[in-house]
Amino acid sequence: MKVRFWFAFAAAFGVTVAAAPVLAHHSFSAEFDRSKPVTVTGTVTKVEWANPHARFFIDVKDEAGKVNNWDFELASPNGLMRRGWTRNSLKIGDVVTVSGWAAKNAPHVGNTSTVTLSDGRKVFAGSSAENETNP
Amino acid sequence: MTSRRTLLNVVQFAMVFAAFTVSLLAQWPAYPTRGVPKTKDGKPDLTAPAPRTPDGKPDFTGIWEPARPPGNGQRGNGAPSNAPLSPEPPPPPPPSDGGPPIATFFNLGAGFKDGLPYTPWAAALRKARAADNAKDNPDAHCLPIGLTQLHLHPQPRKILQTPDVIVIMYEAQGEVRQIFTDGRPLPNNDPQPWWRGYSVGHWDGDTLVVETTGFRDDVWLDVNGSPLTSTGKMTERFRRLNYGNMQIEITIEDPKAYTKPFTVRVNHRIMLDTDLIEFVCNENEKSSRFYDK
Repeated sequence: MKVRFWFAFAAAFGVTVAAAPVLAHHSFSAEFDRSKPVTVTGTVTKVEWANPHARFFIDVKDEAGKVNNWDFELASPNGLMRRGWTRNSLKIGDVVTVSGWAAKNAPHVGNTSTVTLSDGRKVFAGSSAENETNP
Repeated sequence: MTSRRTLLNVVQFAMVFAAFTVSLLAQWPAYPTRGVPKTKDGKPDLTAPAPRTPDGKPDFTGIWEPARPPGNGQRGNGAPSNAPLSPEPPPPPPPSDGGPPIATFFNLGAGFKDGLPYTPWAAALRKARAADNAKDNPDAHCLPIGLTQLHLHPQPRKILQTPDVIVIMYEAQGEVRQIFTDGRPLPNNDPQPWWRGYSVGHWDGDTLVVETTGFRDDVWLDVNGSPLTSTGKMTERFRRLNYGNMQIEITIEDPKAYTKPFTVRVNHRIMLDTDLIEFVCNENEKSSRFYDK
């Protein structure tokens, strides 16, 4: 019973922070290609928590063993904050798997759909279910 | 024993509550809105009558966001944070009261069967803008986005109402708009064109009627690039239907861009216990380097 109460309490907060929509300041197709989905795993080297889009950078080893620094675009910090994420939700050195879409004309640049930490927690996601793991 | 358990529960509650409170305060400046009407069970009564100013006018003061019924062309709450939009969102359902069609952020004319009544010049321009993936929408370059995109932008806006001027502060692009309600006319001395034009308002009963002229030639009414030019005039009719809801009907006349006037509706709902968050678009604008050329 008590567990259910706390779950409801947390879920209520999750729903509250999930209520705001997140939107890019530019149209998706101005920059990204919806026919080029990407999924890469790497180590966070930098987080830029600034408008109009938060960005983070990860070192990813390609098939030939060469390390490329990927630049992933997120929603605005304002939108992310309304969903409960903060500038400390992702840290340098975190190992993450990122799914998203590649830029049309720039290598190693992507739009972010999901970010999964090595322990399975998801950060920066928008659905209320995913927000229940919000630190 | 019972009292110890109760004490334990209180301590547990306090710890968890403190954890949530701290994390929420660390995220954004939440503070309870004052004077919210409540239902019998203590929840905000969004259908309570609209508040009024001391001079008896409906008071639009508050923080507002566009209402988002399903299918209105905006992203749902459960979507990934920055997922690609479907190429053609379904048009919003027509209003049940027979009013004008609902506009969307992407397409002001989404609710019209045949779209907006573009002149040939405007139709060609909109087609070219769409073919360019709207990469020159002012918003995509951290420039002012114009009144209709501001009405439909998901970031909140705050209205401050005084007898002589109504100020709307938009979180999007940090824009500010003045609507003069002191009786002055629209300027007729060839004013400098502005992104947001020059707005004067008067009351028609409980409806605030706002007329705006003096626009620049390169306004985008929506993300898809419906134009508005310096020959354009916008008339907005603001109604605060009740405590929680506001309705804005927007009529656009612009002989250069449209063969006839048209009217669309935007619904807003109140946002409680929150405030605007600073948004400075140019602090880290790095997307435009990657726009498709």
